[in-house]
Amino acid sequence: MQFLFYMLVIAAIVFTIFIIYIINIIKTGDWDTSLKILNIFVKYGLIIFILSQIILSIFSLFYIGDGLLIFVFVIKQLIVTTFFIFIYFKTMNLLDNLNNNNIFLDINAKLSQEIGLYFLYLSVTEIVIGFILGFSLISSSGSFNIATNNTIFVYIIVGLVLQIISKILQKATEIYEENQLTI
Amino acid sequence: MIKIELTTILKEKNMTSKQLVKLIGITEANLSILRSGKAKAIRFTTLNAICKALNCTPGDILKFKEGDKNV
Repeated sequence: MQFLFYMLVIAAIVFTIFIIYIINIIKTGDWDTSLKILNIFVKYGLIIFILSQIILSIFSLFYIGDGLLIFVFVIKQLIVTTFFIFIYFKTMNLLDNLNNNNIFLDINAKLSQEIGLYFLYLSVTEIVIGFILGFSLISSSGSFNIATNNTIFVYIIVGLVLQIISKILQKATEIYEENQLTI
Repeated sequence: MIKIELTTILKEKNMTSKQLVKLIGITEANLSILRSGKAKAIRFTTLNAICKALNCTPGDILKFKEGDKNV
């Protein structure tokens, strides 16, 4: 258990340093460098995140005793992992388009809208599972407890921001097409 | 609706699209967009170059026709 704790602390430190490095590159670097770094981050970072989700979920199953809780937990992890896999592929599509210099396309606006929707679905999943866990605890322990999770708000904010970015991209695409047809 | 009367003027002046393209310095693809009426806007510099090359006024090139939907 202690080994796992140290491993998680090291992973957190490495991840924080990596995030600071990415922020620095995006702030100071040009378009191509930023895209390259984002590509690497999405390609490997998200895969590592999804794999760690799965491994940690399997590991934590041994610490949950109740049968119903295990069932709810497994269902939640399955839904969350599926959404993250969708997010991964959509983000890769978006980055491929950006890498090929196809920036102002309707498909890019649609992709960011879909990624935003997946984040909103994730927040709904967290809320619903939180309620189910809360109600299942009444039956097992007699006390009502709804698990609150900050990630719900993060998912909602990311989802809404992506919806706004998608609308901006749609408008920008319209202006770009008009500009292309200005002789 | 604004109509581009470039084809008529080119015929009147006995000039081909390729000759006009060379004179005004835009691509053939862009001239084709302009002639087909697919263009959303025209820059003053392009209009100026066309007028200079064809020895005409903007009014000769751009005509307003009522009844059709707006550009």
